[in-house]
Amino acid sequence: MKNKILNITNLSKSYGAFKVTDEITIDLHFDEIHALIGPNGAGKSTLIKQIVGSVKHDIGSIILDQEDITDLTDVERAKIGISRTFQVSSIIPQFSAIDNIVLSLLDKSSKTFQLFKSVRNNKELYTNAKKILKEIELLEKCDISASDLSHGDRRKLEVGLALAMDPKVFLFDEPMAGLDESGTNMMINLFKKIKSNSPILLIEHDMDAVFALADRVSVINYGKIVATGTVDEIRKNELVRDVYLGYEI
Amino acid sequence: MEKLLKINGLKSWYGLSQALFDVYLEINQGEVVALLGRNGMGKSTTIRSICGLISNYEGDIKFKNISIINQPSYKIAQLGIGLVPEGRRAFTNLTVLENLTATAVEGEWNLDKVFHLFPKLAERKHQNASTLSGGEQQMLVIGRALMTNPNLLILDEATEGLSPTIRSEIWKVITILKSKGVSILIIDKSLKQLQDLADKFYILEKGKTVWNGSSKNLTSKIAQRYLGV
Repeated sequence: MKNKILNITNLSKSYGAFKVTDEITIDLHFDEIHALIGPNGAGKSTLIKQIVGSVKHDIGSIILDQEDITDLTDVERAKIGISRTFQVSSIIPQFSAIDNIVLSLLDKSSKTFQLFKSVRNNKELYTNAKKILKEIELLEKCDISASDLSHGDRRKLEVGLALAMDPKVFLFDEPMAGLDESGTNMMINLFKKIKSNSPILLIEHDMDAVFALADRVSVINYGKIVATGTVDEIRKNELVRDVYLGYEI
Repeated sequence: MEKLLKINGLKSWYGLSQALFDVYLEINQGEVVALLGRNGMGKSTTIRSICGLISNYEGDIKFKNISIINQPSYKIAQLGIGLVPEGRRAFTNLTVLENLTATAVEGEWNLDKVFHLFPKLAERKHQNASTLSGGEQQMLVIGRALMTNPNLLILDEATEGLSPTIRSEIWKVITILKSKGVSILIIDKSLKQLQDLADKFYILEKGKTVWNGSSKNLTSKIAQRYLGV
C-alpha cells in the first residue's frame, strides 16, 4: 500500500442490466503514469467519473493516499487532491485563458469569492497563472477569450486548469485529442515532468503518446480490466491487439 | 475537371480578433483535399466560414460557381455541403434512425447504403444516440452527413478521440467514399493516412494559405517547416 497513492478495488457501476464498470481493481503508484486504454464505450470515462465522484458507484472502494474517500462527494474529493480533465471541455468560454486559470487557482485556495473583489490587483495570482500558461505554451494567448481559442489550445487550457489545482493525482481524459504533433510533444514532456509530484492516470487513444509515457498500461474492455503490464507486455498481448490495438501498431 | 469549391482572399474574425487573413483553396469534383496546419492556424475557422457558421467574414467563396459568402448555413447545406464537425455532434436526444433521416435528402446515399457502410449503426438503429460509444457516434455523424447526399463532404478531425481499430475502420470508409467519387475536404492530424489518400494539400499558417501541392511534393522538409513533424 505504501507505494500506492491511489488504490481502487472492485469498483462497479450498472445502468439497469448493463454493467459499465465491472469489479475494476486498479492502482496508481507514486511517481507513475498509468495509462488506461480500451475501445470507445469500454467504460474508461465512467471509471474516471466514479473516481472523482460525479458518478456514484454501486460497490467498491477508493483509497487516496491512505484515506478512504469512497463516501466523499465530488467536491470533497477535489478539495483533497483529485484533479481531472474532461473529454468535453469544462472551460468557461467567456473568460480569457488567464482568467480561467485564475479561477482554478482561486478554487484551489478556496477563495472563489475574491472574484467579487479586486482579483486583478492580485499580482501573485496572475504571476502563478502566467507560469502555468507558459508550461502549456499558451502565454502569448493569455488574454484571448477561451471561446476564440482553437480546439487544440482549449485542450491545453483544460490541462492548465488541472495544473492550477496542484492535486495529489491527475486524471487526464484524452488530453492529446485535437493536438498537433508539437502540442502532443509539449504535453508528453510536461507529463514526464509533473508525474513525480502528482502521478497520472491517463486515458488516451494516441498510442505513440501512451507508449512514450506510460510506466504501466491497463486495458479495459466491456467494463472489465483485461490486462495490465508494461508497454512492451501490452504491445505483445494478443487479446489487447484483438480488442483494441489492431495489428498495425 | 469541374471546379466544385473555390476560395479566394478569405478573411474571418471572432469579435475583434482576426483569425483568417488570406486563405485560398480549390477543390475539383471527385477530389480529396487535405487542409493542414498546426493548432490555431485557422483550419476549423476556414471550414466554419465555408459552412456559414462565422458571423464576420469576407472574401470569395464559390460553390458550384455560386457565391455562398454570407449565405445562411442551412442554405449552404441545401446547396450540397455536408459537414462532419470536430467533436462528436450527434443529436443525442434522437435515435440513430432519427439522426440519419432528420436532415436526409433524396439521392444515391440512403439508409441501406449507410447501414451497409456502418453495420453497427443498423444493429443500433432504434437506440438513442447518447447510448452509443464515441466511435459509433462518429460513424453516425458521418452517416448523417452522407444522408444529405452532399456534393462536398467536409470532415473536421473525424478520427479524433477514437480507438486505433475504429480509427482504421473510419479511414477504410473514407477510402471507399473516395473510390465512389465523393469530393472530400478533410482535416486530420494523421499525415501518413492523408498522404495515401489525398489528391491535394493546402497548409495554413497564421490564417494564411502558405503552401499547396500534391502528396509527392509534400516533402519531409515542408512538413517539418509548417507542421513541425
